[in-house]
Amino acid sequence: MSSKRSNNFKYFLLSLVAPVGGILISALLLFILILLIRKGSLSDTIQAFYIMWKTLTSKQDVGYIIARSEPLILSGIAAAIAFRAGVFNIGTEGQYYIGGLLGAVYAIYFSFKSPSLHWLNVILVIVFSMIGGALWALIPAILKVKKGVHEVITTIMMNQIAYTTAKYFVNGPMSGLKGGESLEPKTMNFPAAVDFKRLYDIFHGHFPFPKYIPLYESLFIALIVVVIAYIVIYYTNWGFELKMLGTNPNATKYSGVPPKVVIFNAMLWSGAIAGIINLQEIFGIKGYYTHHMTGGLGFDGIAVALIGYNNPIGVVLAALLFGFLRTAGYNLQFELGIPNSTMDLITGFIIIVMVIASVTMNRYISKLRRKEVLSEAGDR
Amino acid sequence: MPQDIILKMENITKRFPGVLANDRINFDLRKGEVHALVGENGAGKSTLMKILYGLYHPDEGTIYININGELKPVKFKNPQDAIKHGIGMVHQHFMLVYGLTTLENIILGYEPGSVIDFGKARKKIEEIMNQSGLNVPLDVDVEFLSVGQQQRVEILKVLYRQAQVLILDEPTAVLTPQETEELFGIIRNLKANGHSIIFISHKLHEVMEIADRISVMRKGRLVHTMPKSEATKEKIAELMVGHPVLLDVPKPEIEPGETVLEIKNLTVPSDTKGVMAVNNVSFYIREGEIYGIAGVEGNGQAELIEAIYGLRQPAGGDIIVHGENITGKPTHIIREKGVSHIPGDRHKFGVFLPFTLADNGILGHHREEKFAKWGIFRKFSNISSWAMEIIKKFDVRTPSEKVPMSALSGGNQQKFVVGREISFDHTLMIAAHPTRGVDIGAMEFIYRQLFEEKKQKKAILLVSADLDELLLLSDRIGVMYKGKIIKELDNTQRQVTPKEVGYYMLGGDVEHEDEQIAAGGEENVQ
Amino acid sequence: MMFTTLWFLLRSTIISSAPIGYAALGGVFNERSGVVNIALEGILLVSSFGYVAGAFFGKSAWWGLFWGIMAGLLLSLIHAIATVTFKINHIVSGVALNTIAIGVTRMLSLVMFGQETQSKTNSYTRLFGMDIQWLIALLLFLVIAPLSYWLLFKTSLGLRLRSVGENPEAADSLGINVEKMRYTGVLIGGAIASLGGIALYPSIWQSGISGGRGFIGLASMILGNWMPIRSVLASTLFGFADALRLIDVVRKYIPNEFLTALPYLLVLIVLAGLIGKARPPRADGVPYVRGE
Repeated sequence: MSSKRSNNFKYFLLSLVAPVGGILISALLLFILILLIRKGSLSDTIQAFYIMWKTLTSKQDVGYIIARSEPLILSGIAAAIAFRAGVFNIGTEGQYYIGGLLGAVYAIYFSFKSPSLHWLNVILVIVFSMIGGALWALIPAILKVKKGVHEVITTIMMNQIAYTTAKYFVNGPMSGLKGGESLEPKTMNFPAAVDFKRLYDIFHGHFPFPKYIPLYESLFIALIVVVIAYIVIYYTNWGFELKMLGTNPNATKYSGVPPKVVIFNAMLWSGAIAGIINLQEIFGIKGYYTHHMTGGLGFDGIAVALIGYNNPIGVVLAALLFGFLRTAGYNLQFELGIPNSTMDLITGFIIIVMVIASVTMNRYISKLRRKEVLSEAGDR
Repeated sequence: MPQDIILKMENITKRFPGVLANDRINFDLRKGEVHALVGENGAGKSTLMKILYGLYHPDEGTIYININGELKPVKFKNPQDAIKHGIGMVHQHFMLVYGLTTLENIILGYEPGSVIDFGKARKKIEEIMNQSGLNVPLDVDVEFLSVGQQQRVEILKVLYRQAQVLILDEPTAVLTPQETEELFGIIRNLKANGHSIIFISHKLHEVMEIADRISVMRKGRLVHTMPKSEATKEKIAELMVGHPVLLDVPKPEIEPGETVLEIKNLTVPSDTKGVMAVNNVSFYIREGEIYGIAGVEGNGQAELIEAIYGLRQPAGGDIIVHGENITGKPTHIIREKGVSHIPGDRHKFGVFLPFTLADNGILGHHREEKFAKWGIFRKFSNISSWAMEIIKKFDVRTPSEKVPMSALSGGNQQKFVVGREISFDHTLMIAAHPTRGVDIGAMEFIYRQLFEEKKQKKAILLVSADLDELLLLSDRIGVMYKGKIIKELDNTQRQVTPKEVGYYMLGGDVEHEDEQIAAGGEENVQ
Repeated sequence: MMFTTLWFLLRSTIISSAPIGYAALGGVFNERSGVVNIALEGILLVSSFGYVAGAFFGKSAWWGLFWGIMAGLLLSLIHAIATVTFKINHIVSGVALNTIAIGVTRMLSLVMFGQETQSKTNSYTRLFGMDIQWLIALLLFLVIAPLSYWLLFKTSLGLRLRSVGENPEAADSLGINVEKMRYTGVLIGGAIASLGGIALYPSIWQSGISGGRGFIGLASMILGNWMPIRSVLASTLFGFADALRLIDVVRKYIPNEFLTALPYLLVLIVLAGLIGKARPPRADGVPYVRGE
């Protein structure tokens, strides 16, 4: 019996080889890249890695890391939910543009003005944003379920349409520009009772990070979403059915679970969570909506989900990794002039390396397990 | 004598992790003979032939080919090498590419020129078709050919590449008795034209009919080679298994009880628009009865099961379980009403290979309160103990229930699936090809389990491509042809013969078809 | 007046259809051999950059052509290695490659041209006395598409390619090297798609220039039922919608944002209208492992 337990531990260790190995290989690539960019200067390269290390230990940098990973956590979870079911929702990008837009609609036209109802405003902003995101996932979901159209193409089309739709509303009916007031096209400012509060203010200054670090109530939202996602995925039948569909749609049918229902729900919930990805920026940092807000969060989230194995804890870790890469990237650019897009490259590279490593390791582990069972059971 | 031998395999040994697949095998083939290779699943016949065909490399031993009168040693690095030496393999599971025409399938990999000279290919193929008597349409997508036609295409592929030796791997597994007779005719023709044939099969009566010599394999060793004159079915079976064999499992005599399943005028659409896969079918099954459905694959059996199991919407008619009309209801409701199902392809429909046995054990019932609080929050300890019960009761060889399904052997996977479906509360069991890809030991176990079900007064609907299995197990046999049950046969005393079933599988007496259906219909309605 | 507008519309349609059509054709070769390639978008992006950078520094359109195709081939090679040799999920690989494409092009742009979001203007855009964009666009319809059909259906290479995408096990049993065939399919597809990137905008590269056209190309491929000539014809539908944006008459009456969204809306409508008649190659997207 103890050999069984030590075997399971052995398999667990083996499964860690992929992410650790992936990161090591990526670090190696980064090393080579920086060396190339700094034209062979080894001292510069080492300094680059030192800067990256400093980023991990400086308080304000850690604050930035957390702030930057917050939207990625949500984006990663949104993508992961769909991916677990084998549904490739690449539309989280468009879904957060529209989600944020609908949240802005609430803020501008329907919100409560009294500060004591701030909590209600926050909840309703979330609700509206989730509805916006889910709505944007609706058409691809219907097309997939009714016509079998592949969701990759439809969701990407919706992304393209989302940007231009948001642009239309910001420049048109919801415009907040009063003749030369600002260079950035934006909606009207939200009422003060809607703006998300800084965590620094909530904790009355008893907060580890300086005030200028953009950490808002939205961080709580992200953490709550992570917890709920974890419970749903691993402890409920909904999560089980997602995994069934992502593993074997045929057997799912035969087990009495209608795949279409699962696909539809997965897409809509994925879209709903995607809707709230960037509330931190819209309602915290800016206080208004603009289609010029940070883009690419949807795609980053997809990468985060893949690197995190579609597991909520993995997503958090991967999001932090990305936050780190981004923050370190800015520091590198600032101090050594190394372009930010290097980090983009590394990101894509990490995905491929990690996925290859994990698939190969999984196959290897399966082979080992099979051998173990066959020899132990004496194949009959 | 030596000139007679066209190929020889000497001391062939092949090891796989945990298994000695071929143990010092000595096998030879004479020109113009049909040499049968028999043995149960896992005896090593496929491995030996794959070595001959260049798909595997032997760990030890040599292959000799007769080149210009002399036996010369050869090494086959891949199937291309084997083909060059005149060896062709007709696989058990056809290797045909749907989406390509017959012509394209035949020339694939052996095309006349980089820019294909279709005219030249066509001429050559037509010549071969004339010589061998194998006729198939050349410009049709192979997807639309019948099973018998597809097999002929496989043989043509091999002949096109100028094979002198043909390896036929379980060629009759998918054929009706009549198509088998046709195949034998083709084989005799090929013999006459100077080809030599290795015939792999586990169907002893066929082997007795067509083979000149018979070699028996057991557990990786070739135990005996004998000429037909020396062979009897019993002798072969004994050599295959290693001890005298009871060739069938005793069937319990059970008095049938109430009607469990009633199918009335059921019509079910196929995947093609406007075409019905099941056409006005009626039958009934009572407690303690096994009702077998025979028929060439593609005559509506799959759609019939899908309709009963809730995966396909009927276009008309009724499905009644214990008096309750469940027509058109979704699968999970049907399961709730007491229907269990052993699917025909466990990897595709029955299990989730990466999931643990525990997770696989509750499929279809995972929302029940027993396994999930409020149907939502999973009760892991209950799920585990349920799986452990199945493992114990159904002799599933595995270290624990936490092991992934993929780690188990095929036989054990099927035993688990059968055990799971039997363990759920049910009155009707739908068993589709329950012993497909399963070794003889597990096969016997599953048959005993089905008879146990019979004793427990369950009703069993059995669909199988294995005629022997149907005849062994069924009380009554309904033969499906073009979506209708054209004949129902009484098999309570195991009196039905394969020839009889085969006759109806091919449509029976077409002129009097309507009479038969009318007569059958009246018999069926209680 | 009317006549020149019509000619302008026709010419714009052909030019706008080219990147989409090349992507579609590239997709056909990929998927017919069994590999799903959504990185066509990334290929358009990198080959567009490759052309501009190559022509700019090499001071000739030929160098541009060379580097454009090389860039596309490189990205395709990575996809092939990931999906065929390492057998990872095709869509995941495609997503990763698209991300890499965005990062690589921006980084290289910064390093070579001093700014991330666009390159410097490239003046080497003529070949054989013709505007290269127009040349490549015409090439698609007159040469590459028919040639692709011939390759796929009249040669043994094409037959084997198709067999590997429909039933790799059967092809394997006939001695065909499945992996080699799939690599071939992916690389041929990648090379063809690279031409599409070059046809995008040869005089300057901008980030995001591919604008989803790789995906519209995939939609065209589906609409064309994975047949080379039909896919290219299907792409003209979307190219036409794209070209409409350039017509002043249209611009006056219809809001700009709607026009921008039009091609994408059209894809959705078209895909919704296909009633399941389109059938992809049977082994499309399924990694082949021998002995299963």
